Amino acid sequence: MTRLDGIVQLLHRGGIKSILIGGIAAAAHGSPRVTQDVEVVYDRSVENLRRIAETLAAAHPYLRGAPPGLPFRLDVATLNSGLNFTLTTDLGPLDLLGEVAGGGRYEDLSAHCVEAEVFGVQCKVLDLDTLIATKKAAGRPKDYEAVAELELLRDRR
Amino acid sequence: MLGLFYGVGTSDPSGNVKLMATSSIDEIIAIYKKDVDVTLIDECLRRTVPERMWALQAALTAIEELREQVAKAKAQTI
Repeated sequence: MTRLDGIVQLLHRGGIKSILIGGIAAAAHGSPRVTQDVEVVYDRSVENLRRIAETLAAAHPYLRGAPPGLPFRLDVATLNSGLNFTLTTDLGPLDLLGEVAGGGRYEDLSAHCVEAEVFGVQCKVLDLDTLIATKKAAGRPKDYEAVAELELLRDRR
Repeated sequence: MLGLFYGVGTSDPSGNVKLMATSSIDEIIAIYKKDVDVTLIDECLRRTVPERMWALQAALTAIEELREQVAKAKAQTI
């Protein structure tokens, strides 16, 4: 079973610097869409990469969609050599993004966040205007549908 | 410079699809807006952020349980 709450709480317990984006951020703003994963933009400082590797180890992260049995380890070296990781974990799908189109990296997005209580812990959530901009920049049909809803939501807040 | 064109269709009550050429993302988004159920948005906006998030988890759990039940039922009928 996917536990979005478990993933968010795990990231918080590990002191991982990250910003909730995507569908989970949209839900925080009031979107009725059901999302099936947690998407975050993470800080790529050495210390944060270490925290990510240590914290997520307990949830057995693996590359989503990859054949089983590959020698994949989400350690600091792997995090350093990549940028965006779409993972499956014991708690469900987690997308660790070092950068998003239309938004940039953690340090670029930090000024465009709101603090919110998500599943009992305080989290940084991408603000609605920036969330809309990143979804427009992603350019997929499903993102345009989501943008339509988010723009209407923004008008109705 | 060439503009970007996206083909988008709308359907009439008979299901006939009419293709429309649009030239901007905002025009496409405007078309999608017509089909958004704003009553669901209003319902969510009445909730606090924590309430929205717990409702999301509850909905996801319900969906996954339903999928499991459907899969089991299908396996039993084979």
